[in-house]
Amino acid sequence: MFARMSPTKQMPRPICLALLALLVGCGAESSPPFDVLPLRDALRAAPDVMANLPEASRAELAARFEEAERSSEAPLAFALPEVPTVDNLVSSADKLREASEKDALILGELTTDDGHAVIDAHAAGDSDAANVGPLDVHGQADVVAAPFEEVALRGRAGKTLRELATRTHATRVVRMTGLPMGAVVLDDEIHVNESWLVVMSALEDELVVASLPEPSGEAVAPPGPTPLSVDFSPYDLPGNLNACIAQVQTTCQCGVTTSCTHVPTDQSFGNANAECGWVNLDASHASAICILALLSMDVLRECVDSASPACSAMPVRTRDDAVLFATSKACVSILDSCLASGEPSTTTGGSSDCDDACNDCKYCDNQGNDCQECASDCEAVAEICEACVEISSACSESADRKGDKRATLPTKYAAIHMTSQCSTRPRPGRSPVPAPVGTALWLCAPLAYLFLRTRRRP
Amino acid sequence: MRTSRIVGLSFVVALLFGSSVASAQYASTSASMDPWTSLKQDQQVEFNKRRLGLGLFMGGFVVPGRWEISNGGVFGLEALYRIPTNRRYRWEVGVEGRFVRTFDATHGGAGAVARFAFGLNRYVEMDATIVLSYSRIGFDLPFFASRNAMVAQSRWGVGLLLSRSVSLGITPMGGTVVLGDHVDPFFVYEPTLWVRFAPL
Repeated sequence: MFARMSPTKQMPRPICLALLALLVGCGAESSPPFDVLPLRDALRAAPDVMANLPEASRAELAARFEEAERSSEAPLAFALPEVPTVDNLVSSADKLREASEKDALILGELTTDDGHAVIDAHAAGDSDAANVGPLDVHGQADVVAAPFEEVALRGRAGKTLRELATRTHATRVVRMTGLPMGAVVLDDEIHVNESWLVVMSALEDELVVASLPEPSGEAVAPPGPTPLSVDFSPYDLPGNLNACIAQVQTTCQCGVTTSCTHVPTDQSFGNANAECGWVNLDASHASAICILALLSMDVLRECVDSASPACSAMPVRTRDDAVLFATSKACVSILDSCLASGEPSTTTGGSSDCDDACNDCKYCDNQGNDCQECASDCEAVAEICEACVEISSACSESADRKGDKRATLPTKYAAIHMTSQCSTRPRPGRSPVPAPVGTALWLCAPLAYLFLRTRRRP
Repeated sequence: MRTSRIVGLSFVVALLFGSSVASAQYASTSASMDPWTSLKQDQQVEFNKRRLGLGLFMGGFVVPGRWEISNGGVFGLEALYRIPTNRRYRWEVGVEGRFVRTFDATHGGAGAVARFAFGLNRYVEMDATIVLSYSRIGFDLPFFASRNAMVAQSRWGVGLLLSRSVSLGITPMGGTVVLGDHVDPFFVYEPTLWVRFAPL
């Protein structure tokens, strides 16, 4: 194009090159400056993001990781989270470090006891021990990050993990993503951060080039139309939570072979393999994914919120909230009831219900008087109910005497709580026939009139 | 509450419609007693002759008995080929596009329409319609994938002819069944208001 222009109109070559460079720069997705950001930001990033960083940035970041690995620190104790999963323990420990303005811990060991957890930093040694044999890492690897990970495991990161395993007597290495630590030992497992491995691969001589994602196919398809891990729809809800769990576990079997191609339900996972890997880690995770999806629906959330006694795990906003919900039998029971009928199961004031409720966590306070508490609670509720019935009948009689039309409406008793007074309120007028039929009859009346009027006269 | 508003609105429209037709009929019978003159001015006969029909409708999308499915509104367009079989009767076949918006989902679809319309007098005609369409249902929540559904409808409506080429009417009896992939079949009551044109 430029060749056809007259010499006076031709753009000088340096300007053309500069513009071209500018256009390329605009088109490329700029990645965050992980080489200058805190280490925890890099560790939390998805492995494929790390894999797509420029080689120089990864090398700089790897040097910072290596330096941080060598620092030795005193053990840090913290309160055990309500649900002591690896995710929650690592997050809790990192929050404390962040509060004291410390960067992420690269290598550590978690120990838990009654109500407390301790994170112990493990400084990497300078051992020259040979990296013998392949290191078996469980869980699925990210497609883009896998080659980097292999290089890292054959190199310095592999050695570090072996040393850590020897020191802590860990027998198994499991992949994880999204957590602000490089590798953490809990019980006999080392949970290794895939992003850390990807970055550490930059310290090796082998050159790895990130594979570009496929230009077409499900990997780049928009999330809406493709099936998700929770393969239900608001127009076809599962009958209960177990049905959903079974479906998610079946769908996530692809996670074992890292062959998942569907879209993750929880978009905070980078891909379905990561989500299914998490689902396969623990039995409660499948139900957590279901709960997260189902309670995003207004009708179900409102239903669970309206339960009495209320579900203590509400609201559910994050994956951790959902795990907490899944561990509460009372909450799961409420959700099951909502799924079945659209209404929560409620505990009424009858004594028979109270007998069942003796197992309710509300009364289980380890003081040895659970059933006694329950019985006294029931007694109080029964008294309120009795008073309510008396007031209602008195109201009804009074209304009859006055001839108030409202009294002829069916009444319903308001929910009775220990702290609220009994009251009656009229139920909105309701047709004896179902809504569509009644509506049709009303609409047909003028039409019937019209039809009769417009008939052709003889 | 939403349902009662829709029903109330439909009822008011029906009443207005009935009263306007009755007054128009009274005026026409008193104005002209000559049957041939009245035949020449018969709008329904003229409307019936035309071959192309275009329509636009909107109304309620009411799902009874399914707590998990929210109500909403429906809007649609149709284009039909009209085949008169009689001075007052005709068949119409064509296509229809419909768009439904509920509180948590959006349906968009297209389908085939078959309609039989019959004139009652020079100003009023009724119709019975069957529609088979395919819809894509998209949910607002990102946790649920979009679904495909088949939609079968039957409608009965009545219209007032405003001129030889325009009619305005209501479909008080509109029943729809939606079924499909991960869509537990459900019934929808769809009362609609419509305007139809017969330009050619």
